[in-house]
Amino acid sequence: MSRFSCKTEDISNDVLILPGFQEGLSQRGSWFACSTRSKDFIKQFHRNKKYILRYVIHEPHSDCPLSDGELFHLINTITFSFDEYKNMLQRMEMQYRDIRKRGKLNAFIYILGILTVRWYWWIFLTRGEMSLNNHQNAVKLKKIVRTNNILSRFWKRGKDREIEIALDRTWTFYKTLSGDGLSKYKELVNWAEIQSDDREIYKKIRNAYLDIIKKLTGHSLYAEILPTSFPQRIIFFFNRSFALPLPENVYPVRNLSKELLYESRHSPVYNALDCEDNRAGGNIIELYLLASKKGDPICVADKGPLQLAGTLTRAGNMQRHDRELKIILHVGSDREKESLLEGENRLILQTRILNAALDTVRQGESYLCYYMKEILPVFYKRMRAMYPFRSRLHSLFPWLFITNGIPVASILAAVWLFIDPYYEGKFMQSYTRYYNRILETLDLSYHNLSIEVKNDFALGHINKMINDDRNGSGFRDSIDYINQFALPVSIMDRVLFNNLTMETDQLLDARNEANSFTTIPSEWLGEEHSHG
Amino acid sequence: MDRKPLLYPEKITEEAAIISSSVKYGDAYDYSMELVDKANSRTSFPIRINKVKNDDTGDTFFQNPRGQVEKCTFQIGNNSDPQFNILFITGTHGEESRLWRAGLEALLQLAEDNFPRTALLEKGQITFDLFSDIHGFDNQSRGYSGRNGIQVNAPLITGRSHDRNPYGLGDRNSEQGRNSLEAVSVLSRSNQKHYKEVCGPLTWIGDHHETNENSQYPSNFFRYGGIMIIAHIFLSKEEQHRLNSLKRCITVTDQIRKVISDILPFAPVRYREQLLYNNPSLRKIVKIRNRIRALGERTFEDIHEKALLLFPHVERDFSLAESIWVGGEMFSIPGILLGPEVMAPQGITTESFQQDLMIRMRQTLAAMEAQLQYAGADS
Repeated sequence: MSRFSCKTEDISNDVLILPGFQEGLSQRGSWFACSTRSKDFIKQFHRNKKYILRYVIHEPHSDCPLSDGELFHLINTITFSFDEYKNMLQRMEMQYRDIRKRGKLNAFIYILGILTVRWYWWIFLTRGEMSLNNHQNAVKLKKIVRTNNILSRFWKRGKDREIEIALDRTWTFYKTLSGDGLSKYKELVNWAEIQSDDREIYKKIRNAYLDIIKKLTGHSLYAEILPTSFPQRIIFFFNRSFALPLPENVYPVRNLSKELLYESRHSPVYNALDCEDNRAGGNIIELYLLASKKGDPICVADKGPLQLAGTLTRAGNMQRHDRELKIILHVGSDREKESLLEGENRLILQTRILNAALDTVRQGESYLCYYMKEILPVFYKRMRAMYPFRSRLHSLFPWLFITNGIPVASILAAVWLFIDPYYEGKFMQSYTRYYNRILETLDLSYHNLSIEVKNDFALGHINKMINDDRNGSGFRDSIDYINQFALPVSIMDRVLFNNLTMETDQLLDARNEANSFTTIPSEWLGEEHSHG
Repeated sequence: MDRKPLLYPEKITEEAAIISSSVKYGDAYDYSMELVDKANSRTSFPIRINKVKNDDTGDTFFQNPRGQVEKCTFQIGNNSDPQFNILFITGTHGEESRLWRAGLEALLQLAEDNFPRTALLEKGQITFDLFSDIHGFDNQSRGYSGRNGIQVNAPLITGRSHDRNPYGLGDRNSEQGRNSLEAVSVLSRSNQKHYKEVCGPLTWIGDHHETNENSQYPSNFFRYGGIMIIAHIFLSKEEQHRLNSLKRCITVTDQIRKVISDILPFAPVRYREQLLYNNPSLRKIVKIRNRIRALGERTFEDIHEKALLLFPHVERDFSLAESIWVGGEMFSIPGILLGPEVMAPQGITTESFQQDLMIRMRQTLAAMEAQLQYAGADS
């Protein structure tokens, strides 16, 4: 029965971003993002309640903080790891559920046979131990399924002053340490223990580093899931499946410190004048600085979000060949151009613009998520309905055909039908690698980037129109001119979107969210946009 | 530990790790030259820099994806009458190039004046080839030469799918040694000539490999597996055949059987350890393994083999003792000699499995230290 309303509970989980060094996201080494331990995370949920999960992400102060897109990706990886775990357990259950049921029946008959009939040949027919097959995972599955009760997940940046200070102190202490990673983390654990006189945040930091140490000194997956000793073999005999380990609570995030950069003399930034061959060629992203009626001007990429993701992966591959990423920022007037290139603004502009690019990709990713979630099942279900032989028994038809024709092929058919462990792995790997590459690209470009600011006449014309806002119809007037000057379609999209959201106050939040982080503060652009 | 350490693995820094993984070949070359020059200004044992000659052209330049580049090896110690002669190689496979910085660290630490080291350096010489495969260094690809012997490192490795013949059975993908001389790549030929010229007759070789993030699915299973030692020892055909028929002593029942067969005078040899108990090279390598453990590093444990007992599997390589393996039928049947076996009578290849880069570098340094102790100072 469908429920039209249900009470929900809010649960917030802290994610701490801590300094360290691990290979994961990029070649320059990444930091750690520590969420709550998986055991404790699962315990939070009750099977009859619905939840809204809020992640609060705390990070230390830095010049180039994690952008919205990066945080979005981090939260996605956390949820993905739990989903993957759940999925694996469910798949194992699909294999073993019926066997267990049969095993229970067999055990019952076996006992009955011994007690009543006294025909001992029952021993050879029944297999009572099957009733315990995959028992460990079945118990775990019952608990992890409760995460289905999470109706929605949100994330936000933590604004707790105490936590910020604690994280900053951790980073400053980390800088003073020397030696290899493990010894550093051990010292950090001791340090956090001394600092914490009943303050929770230091306890959390301590636990997080303990988890990191545990992760680095743990056994390999092989040794963990396969039986290695005699008692484990006995358990395996009854259990007949691998006890999957819980997902880790330590994830990689971008390295926030720039100090570890080795200034390359061979990289094009330093010898662009010496060697013409090394200059950036083709590795370009173009952005347009579009005016908006309320708020700061927005960076709009010349491509749509999905195309931009492709461009960024290509850019990453070129960067790996030591070609820098060049970003061309089109602005409307000379004044803007001059004020953007002044002094300190230039450095901050880099991170700002990169975040703008990533944020555009994030929108693309959310489109994709929407597509996968909402639209695909419609066709999928329809297909299922259209194809008649899709029951479990009918799916064995190929087995029947092949084994009748070629007897030995039964093994191949079994692999093809039931096992083929690589198929989904390949698919998921390619899918996740695609987005990981984008993040890596951006990480590389934090160190190897050049920005060129250009004055665009057409854009200036449109910006002026929007800012003048004659009769309150600045956006609508500019649309004709965008067509006339043949500016990229993405600009048209953004203007239409902003126009739509200006009309009602209800959509203002959507507008603010879409434009957040892709804006550039109007203070950097001189006086023209100060009215925003 | 009763011995004084020759190298200090814990001195490797995070900056070094980042440089090792992020820098291109040109930068790495300049960086190492700079540090070596600095070290030469203070030390009483100067580091000799030898440039590798191109076997085809006669000059010192090689073709790299980024243009014409130079390659060199570093040498330290007594050149005139060495009692031992060790060669350390890192980055044999271009994609496993991260360990060059660990090798450089070892070289720089050796150059610092300190008692046990000076005694060692007076006794013999040590050569370091930090960038063995300069071609694969930038592309992060394996040494991969075509039939004409020219390296075609074009494919960026994103998997092994392009690699039709991953184990070199058909003489396609061997980095150092190949059956037909015409098909050896220019770089390999030049390297081998260079080693002969500069080092002379070698007494020991250490080849250091790693498994990093470029490696694919199966190696993830051995994550945190520690460091594995692949022994290069001379085994006759008969011995190899016998080894193949024997097992390793792993489970509890095995151990009981082994004790029984040890006690009984006429009982047959059951396990590989018993057969090779008196092999001097293996004794040395076992000592090296124990030394690595004493330095606090993890070696490839038997727990993996115990886990693998669950499946019926064909052995590719033989395991001789805990964390010590030897190249088996995979190479012996087609008659392939591995690179280190061509160049020196004995030595080891180490494989540091996928884990934190810092730990991998530490493990490699520990392995180098252990080799210096037992193949250098003890000789």
